[in-house]
Amino acid sequence: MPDEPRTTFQTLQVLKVLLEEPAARHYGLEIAKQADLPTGTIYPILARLERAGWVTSDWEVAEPAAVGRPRRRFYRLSADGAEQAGLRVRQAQQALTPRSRGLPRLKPRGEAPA
Amino acid sequence: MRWLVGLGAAGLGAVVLQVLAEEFRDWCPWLAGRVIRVAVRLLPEAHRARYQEEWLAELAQLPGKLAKLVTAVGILLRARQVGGVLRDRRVGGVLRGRSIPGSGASILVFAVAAGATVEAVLLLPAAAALLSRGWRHDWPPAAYAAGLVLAERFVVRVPLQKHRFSIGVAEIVIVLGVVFIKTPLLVLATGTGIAASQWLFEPQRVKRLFNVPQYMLSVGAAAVVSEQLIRALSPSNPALNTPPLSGAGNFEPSLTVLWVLGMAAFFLVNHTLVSAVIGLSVGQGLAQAWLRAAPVAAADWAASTAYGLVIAALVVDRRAMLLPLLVVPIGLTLLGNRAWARSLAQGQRMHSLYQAGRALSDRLGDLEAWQAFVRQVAEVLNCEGAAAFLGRPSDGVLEVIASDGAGDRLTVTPSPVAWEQAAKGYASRSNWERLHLVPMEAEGRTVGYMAASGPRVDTDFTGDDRESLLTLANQAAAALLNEDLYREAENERATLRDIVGHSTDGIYTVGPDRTVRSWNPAMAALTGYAEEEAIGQKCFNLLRARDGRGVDMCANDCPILAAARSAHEEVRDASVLNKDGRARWINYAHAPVVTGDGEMEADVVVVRDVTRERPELNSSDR
Repeated sequence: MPDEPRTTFQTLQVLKVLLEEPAARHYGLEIAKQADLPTGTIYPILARLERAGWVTSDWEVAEPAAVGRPRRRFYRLSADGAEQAGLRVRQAQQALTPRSRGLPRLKPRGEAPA
Repeated sequence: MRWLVGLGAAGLGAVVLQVLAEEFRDWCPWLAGRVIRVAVRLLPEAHRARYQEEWLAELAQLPGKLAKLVTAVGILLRARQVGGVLRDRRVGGVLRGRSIPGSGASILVFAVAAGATVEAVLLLPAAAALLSRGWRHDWPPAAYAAGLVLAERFVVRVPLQKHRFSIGVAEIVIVLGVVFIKTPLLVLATGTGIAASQWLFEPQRVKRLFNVPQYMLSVGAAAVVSEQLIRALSPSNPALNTPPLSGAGNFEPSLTVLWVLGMAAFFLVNHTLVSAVIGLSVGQGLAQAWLRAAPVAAADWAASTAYGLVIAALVVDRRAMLLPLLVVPIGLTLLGNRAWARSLAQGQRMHSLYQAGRALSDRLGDLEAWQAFVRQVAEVLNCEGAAAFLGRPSDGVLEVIASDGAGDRLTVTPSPVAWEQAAKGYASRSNWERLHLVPMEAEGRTVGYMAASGPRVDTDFTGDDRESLLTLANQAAAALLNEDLYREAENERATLRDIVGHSTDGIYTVGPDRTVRSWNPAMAALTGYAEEEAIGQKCFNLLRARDGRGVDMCANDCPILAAARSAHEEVRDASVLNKDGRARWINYAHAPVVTGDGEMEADVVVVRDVTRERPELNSSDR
């Protein structure tokens, strides 16, 4: 079984982008832009996720001549990856979310409204 | 005049700079392509074509020329990291792939190879001279090399219930070689035999490269040490001058000690080389790597040496009375097994402890998780069985969960002393031998007992075992307390659900994008929108709040956004329209839930219907 990837903050950013539309296919620079990460940073993260089996990648099927540009490499979450990523992102969000300070206070009944 | 020239020069300079800048911009896409080609060279060969195509395709889609170059440089800076990820696989359990190019381990591998090559070159003339002395000298090295090839695929494994019992045949062949073959031929035959076996059976190139010189140097050390010792201590011994297997004179029992010393040199060189390469590969110090593996390696070496020497004696003398001598190597093998079992337990202990803790913390309160945990305890301690006795302070019930799947529930006085007695009694009735019982303690309280029985390696649990059991027991105690806390939290959550569900004030929560996440029954009554209708909708579409002057508050002065900005409560009055279009006056308070970095995670809104307090809306629709 492949090793689990380290879930650094940047990895979580990438996972969040991929989780927004788990079935959608994204290319590298698009993920970098949405995750607000420097371009080069994205590829080691994607390579690590791909090696762990959380992400799969494949070539665009469209003919380059037909679309007028070279074919792209697309990435998307695998079924296992989507589950793991969801878990990690939720854990991170829970860790970052402080407890609510309780319910807000209303004015006492009977006080004249503004 | 001068200023005119200066002005002209400045103008010309500006034009030239402009031209150069434009020229540079035009060159940028080409440069970016070159940078990408440099970047892919940092990747393993198998992945280069894919990444080159992928990265060039990405660059082609970027709008600016300079942006292409900047992006390409960004990719180049991270390419080595990508290469590291792609190479990060264990190679044959000895070397990590990433450590091959330019790393200390690789340098050592090449140094060992170079040393063995020098050794072979120096020994070639002497070996050639020995080979010309007739077939009685020639066939043993050939048989020895063939024996090494066969031995590579042949490890004697005797299945035993509790331990492994395996003997490495290659080392036995080496002992026979040291006894019967002259040094130059022995070293070259070792190189030939190991090279052939590696070429035939070893899939990892790094191991192929390392193992041949490693064995040439180690066997060379053994042969030189034993030969020099024999020359120094027994110069007239026929073993120095007669061809091998020529008669009983070859094997002198008095020389056994010297051959053992020779094999000790083999062990030292061999184990040091392997430890050095492993240490460099995994970033561990040489001494640490050497000592960690030494007990198992030394026991295996001693057993192989003893087998080899007994077999050598049997080959020469062919006397059945020598057979009882096999007790020595068999005993050494059993010692090796014990060292192996300890080493394995040490190595796996941390991992197993981690897994055991996770089994509990992932599934709090789950009986199967507790059963998995006690099985892990038995595995970590390498013992016959383990059990957890979980005490319940409220009624004194002692829940028994054993690693063999057995379970029971004992009712005793709710005190640690009574639980301990009950646990001991249960273990005694279950015939658990050599029991070790420790309390499960957390936050100064004893919440149960943990037991292990029947250590497999030693007659009793070692100090390490006892310490590990205590750690596991405390881990279990913490999990037990967490279970209680979890239940308390669940109860609190249920209570909160009741409060929110039965509140006469409306309570709802929204996300930062103003999408409704929860909606209580009072909100449903106030607005006419049921919970399932409201959740997922934007709050401004449901409420349409207006202030006293009729201004749309959601569009102009949204209290949710105001609360998000200020991170403080916002209390407002507004008129809202319910689902039927009827106007209601509400007083509502917003409390933002803010994350550590100041971002609003959610907004909790409490709404009270104050229509009765607004005379202008009483019994009238807007």
